[in-house]
Amino acid sequence: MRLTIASDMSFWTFLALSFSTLAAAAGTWTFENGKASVSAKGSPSTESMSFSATKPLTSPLTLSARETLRLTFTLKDDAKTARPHQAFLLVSDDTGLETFFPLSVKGESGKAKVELSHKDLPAHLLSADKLSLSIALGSFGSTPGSIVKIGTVQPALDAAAKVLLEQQKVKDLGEGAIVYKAKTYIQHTFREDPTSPPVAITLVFTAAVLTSLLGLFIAWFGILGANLNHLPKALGSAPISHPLFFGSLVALEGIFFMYYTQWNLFQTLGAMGVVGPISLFSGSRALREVRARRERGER
Amino acid sequence: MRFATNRAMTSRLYTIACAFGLFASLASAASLTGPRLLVVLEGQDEKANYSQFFGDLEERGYQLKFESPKSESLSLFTHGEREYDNVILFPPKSKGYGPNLTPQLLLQFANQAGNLLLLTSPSSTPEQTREFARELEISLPPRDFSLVDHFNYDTLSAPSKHDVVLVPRPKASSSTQNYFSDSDSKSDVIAFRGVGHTLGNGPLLNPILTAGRTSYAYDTKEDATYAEDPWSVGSQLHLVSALQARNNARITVSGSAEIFSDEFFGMKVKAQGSNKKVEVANRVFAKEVTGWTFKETGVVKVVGIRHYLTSGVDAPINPSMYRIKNHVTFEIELSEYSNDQWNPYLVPSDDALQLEFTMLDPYYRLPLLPSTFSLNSTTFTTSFKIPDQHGVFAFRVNYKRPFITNVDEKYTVTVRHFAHDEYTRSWDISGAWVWMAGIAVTVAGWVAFCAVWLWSAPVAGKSKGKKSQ
Repeated sequence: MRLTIASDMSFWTFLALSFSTLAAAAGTWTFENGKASVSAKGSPSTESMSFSATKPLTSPLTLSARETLRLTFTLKDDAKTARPHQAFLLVSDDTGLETFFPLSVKGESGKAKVELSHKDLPAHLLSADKLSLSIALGSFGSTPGSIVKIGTVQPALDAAAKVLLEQQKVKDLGEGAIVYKAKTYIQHTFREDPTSPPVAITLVFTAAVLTSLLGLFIAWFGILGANLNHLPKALGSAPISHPLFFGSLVALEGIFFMYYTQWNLFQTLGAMGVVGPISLFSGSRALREVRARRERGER
Repeated sequence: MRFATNRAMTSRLYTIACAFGLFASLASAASLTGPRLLVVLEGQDEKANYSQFFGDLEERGYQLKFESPKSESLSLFTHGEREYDNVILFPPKSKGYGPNLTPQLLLQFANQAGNLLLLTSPSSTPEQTREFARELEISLPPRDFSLVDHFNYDTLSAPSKHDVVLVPRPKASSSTQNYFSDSDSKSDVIAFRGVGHTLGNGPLLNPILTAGRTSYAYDTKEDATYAEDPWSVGSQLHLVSALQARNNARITVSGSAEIFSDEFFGMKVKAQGSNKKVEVANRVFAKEVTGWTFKETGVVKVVGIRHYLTSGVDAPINPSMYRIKNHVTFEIELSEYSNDQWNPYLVPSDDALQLEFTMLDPYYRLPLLPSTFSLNSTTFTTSFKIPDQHGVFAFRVNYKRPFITNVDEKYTVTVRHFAHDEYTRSWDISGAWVWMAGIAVTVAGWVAFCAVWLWSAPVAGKSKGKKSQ
């Protein structure tokens, strides 16, 4: 069953409705002796409540699963009892969803009744908090029809029934039925970026590391007495190989630095190819001079 | 080679014929499917009853061909190709349609992208039509069921029978395209005499005209005195409904053929309780319904798709590869056919054109907003940051909405990881400074050690210790 929303009730209906209420005196389809009673199966019905076209039921009726709501009234074409062609009980919820139940009318006497229980109502309506009941009367000819609200019903549901209803609602809509409309937006959630500890802590430890170099130099030059006193002597006996060897060692570190910052591996290897042999040959000369100093007992 | 020449000549002739055909269709048709319109109608008097309806169609460039429902010569196909672009089926007076209009053939016609307007009437809807409608999830009431509304009827033409029902024109909706609620029209009421139908839940089906709350369909033969068992009531009853198949073929079912007749086109109605005679909007409505069904309106096409890096000045258009976390802009250009021209497409206010960026599941679903308009098209744009997940992704625009042709575009791109030289450099990471300082200290210490090793002179008194090593 396709349940559609009757909210777009037409301008014409409103017109007709307003007309029918305004011109009630002029004679419309109407009813009297309205009686409503709720009874459980097998037990006597509760006291019946009266209502009429102008006085709807004031308090909402509660209808539980095993109970039946019975409505009776006498239908009238203006003043005399008659049977209209259209006599429906309309049951609707707040959203405008509506279903109908034809009244059973006994001939021209106009005596009409209708019964309503849980199993008669579709799941979408039954799960509503409050259902409003209206009577629609209309027929061929010139007597205007009328739609009269007669009261409200609150279906009482237990927890198990609610679960079943939800399943039934899905089934009624057609399981997995697609509706062509805009879907909800989706934003991607990115993984968190790796974080660094606070800069202050980093700076403290960096300073500690740099201080250790200072400590090393103090230990070497201050306490252990390291010095560069042989530099003039070394330059004197091997003036080319010493600067070249030391220079190539510094250059190698420079190459590593360039590799770290911008060079690729091939540029690095090329530079190594130039600096490597220089340090090899100048190194052998320089170290020979160092050995000569040791052999002379100077170190 | 006589055979070869012959074949060459045939193909040339075919080309000329094609070009001519194309020219002819360009010159005349308001319909995008084509101008060839078959009208299945019984009897010459019937044709006279609908002269304005057919006149309006001819004016819009349709080439009407009339056939009787039982006609032997009638065929929807020639050599497996559609013989007509559009078909209007009137309810037959006899029991049914002939063997050339079976539900299977009609479905095949729709499968080959032909459009159908199916008109029914309470008393003469054959079982074939009902069977065909059932295939579309439209259920038509049994024979002799008729729609009445004792609250909204025309007091002039149906003062006691109440079967000429006054239905307001479809209201403009803010979430779908409105092709049936032309605001220019003087009148906003449609006179209807026929019967409604109910619809299934499929997304391809959409009601165009819905019955009012107080109307109902009853059996005119069995329930003449009291509607004991009405077939359906209120707004669950639809009077005119549309189906757009997955191939964009359109089928419209109307519960009444009469609403398109001369009698109803020229009708002046007076609602119950109103003192004013008003004109009906049936003629405009007929134009809108046939226009939509035969693809004069509601056809949306994709003119172009572009995606590129947002930041790049000369970024390549539609590259096949992006990197994770790139900022990307996606553009789609849409154009809508409206009566006889291509116009910029506009998204209804409560609807959204959405871009999905998917790999199995959508990672993004973003609204595409109009950025630029040209004479014929609108460009919709969105920008986003590619997710931090590499793989093969797709830009997807899946825009299927009531009453417009489907837009379903999918373009795959590779999303790669960072290359080795694209990561953040270590000096930009404050946590790495300690380790970098460690390396600097090691390098400085090593160079100093080398100098000391080469050039340090032994200190007197400590040389002994050194020698013993």
